[in-house]
Amino acid sequence: MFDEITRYKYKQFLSEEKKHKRKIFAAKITILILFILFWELSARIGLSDPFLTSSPSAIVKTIINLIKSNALFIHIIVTTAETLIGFFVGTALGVAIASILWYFPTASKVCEPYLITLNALPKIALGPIIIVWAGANYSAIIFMTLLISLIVTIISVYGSFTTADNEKLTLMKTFNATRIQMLTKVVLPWSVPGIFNALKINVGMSWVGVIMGEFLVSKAGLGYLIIYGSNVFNLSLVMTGVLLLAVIAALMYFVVAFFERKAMKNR
Amino acid sequence: MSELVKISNLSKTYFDNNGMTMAVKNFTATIKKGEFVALIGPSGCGKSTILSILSGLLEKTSGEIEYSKDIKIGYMLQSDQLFNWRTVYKNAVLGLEVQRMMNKENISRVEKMLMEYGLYEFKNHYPNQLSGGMKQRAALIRTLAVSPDLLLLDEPFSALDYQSRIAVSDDIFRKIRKEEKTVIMVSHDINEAISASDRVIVLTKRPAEIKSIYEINLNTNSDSLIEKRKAPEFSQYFNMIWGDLDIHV
Ligand SMILES: Nc1ncnc2c1ncn2[C@@H]1O[C@H](COP(=O)(O)OP(=O)(O)OP(=O)(O)O)[C@@H](O)[C@H]1O
Ligand SMILES: [Mg+2]
Repeated sequence: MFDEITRYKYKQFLSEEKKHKRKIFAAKITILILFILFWELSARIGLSDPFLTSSPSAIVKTIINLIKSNALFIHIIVTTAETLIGFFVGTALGVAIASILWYFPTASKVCEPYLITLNALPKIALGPIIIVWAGANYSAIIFMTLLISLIVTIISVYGSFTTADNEKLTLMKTFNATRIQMLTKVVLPWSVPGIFNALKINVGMSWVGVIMGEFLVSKAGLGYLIIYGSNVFNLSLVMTGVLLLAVIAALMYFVVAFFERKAMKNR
Repeated sequence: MSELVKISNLSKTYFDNNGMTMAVKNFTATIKKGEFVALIGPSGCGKSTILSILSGLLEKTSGEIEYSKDIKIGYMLQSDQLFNWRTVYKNAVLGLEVQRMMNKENISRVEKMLMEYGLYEFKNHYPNQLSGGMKQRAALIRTLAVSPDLLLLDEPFSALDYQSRIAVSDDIFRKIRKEEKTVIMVSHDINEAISASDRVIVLTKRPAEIKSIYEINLNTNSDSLIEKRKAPEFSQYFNMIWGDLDIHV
């Protein structure tokens, strides 16, 4: 269908695209390497105080020590487990409550001001109450995480429920559909993009909840590592905690984004 | 022929916070089994309102509607409303799913319709991969799948461009007539209304009142809408209806 010249131009176009992608990738890596180099060098030549800023080599040493003492794995597992529990329970419960609100429109209008107030309230303020209620242990941390992710999930998912196309609901009514059928066949599938948005927000939210909880009560976990490090002025330990946190949180985000792409393939 | 629906003095006034809007006034009609009736009237006069009341989606304000017993109504909305997260096939069986009628017999009927309407190859495609005409056909199959006795069509082809509209509607109306379906169709295309129906009811500006009724008798043997337009009486009907619609430019 196409002549030689057009096909040649198309090949050129494809290789240009590839080159461009490679350049972007190279730039990303370069920034990372430059950052690490600058950090290390500035600590060595005395541009910054390694006691305050630590250094990449000190962080590597800290990680090796943590591995040797078998502590690293436990800290990571504890924090990740707390986060995942908060994340899944918060999302599932949030979608369930949003569905109930959608099912009873009048009740949801009544609840609206309370939800908004709860959402606006900085949940950390409830920390002491939670500790008194749940005890200074893991359940307090998970409770904190749930509180932070749940309200946002309810509000954002319910919000996307209400944008479901009215005409599509009318269509369902022409078949005499029940409200449950409208929920499962229109509102939920319609809101898949909105639910994934909530999931992405919740990745961040549940980490906030867990780390805040660990700051308050814990005896293990990356949040504990960070707070302990700062108490004993071991900034390398603090930096290590933050770094590990960044890597694991990013991984979790990419997993969600992967499933989102899969779910949205035909949209 | 037996009477399927008897509508007398139907009126509808919408209430909302800004006040009241009268949309339909004293609408009276009797629809017999197998009839194809077109409602035609100016934009915004209350045509969709009449269909919505007949389908039970809207409450009437006053008047009487008598249905023959156990009537099942199929309502094809003004736009296709296909679900873009469902394939063509899954869209076509939506009504069957909702009404828990997913049995072998009904499914094979849907498959047969998909074949007749040229959609079988696309049954696993998603709506955004279809042309406008194909979407309309898929929406029609979804409506027909639950075997309605009375078919309400709201400007079924208004989303299509003029040429595909003529082709698609010619094809689809012929199939509907062959199956002797009872149809009430809203249209604002005079040509379409005359060539497709047995009776054309012309409505006034809002609130919709009956202005005139024409029994259509075209002197032609063809069942093709395009051929019917060549019948000698066609232009007379057209001119009378055009006059009744009283369109000023
Ligand atoms: N829910 C509603 N509340 C208040 N007024 C309404 C409502 N629905 C429709 N109307 C009004 O009733 C009138 C008739 O509406 P309807 O949709 O029946 O018109 P139509 O003849 O189908 O128009 P079109 O040709 O544009 O499809 C319009 O003036 C519209 O503004
Ligand atoms: Mg309308």
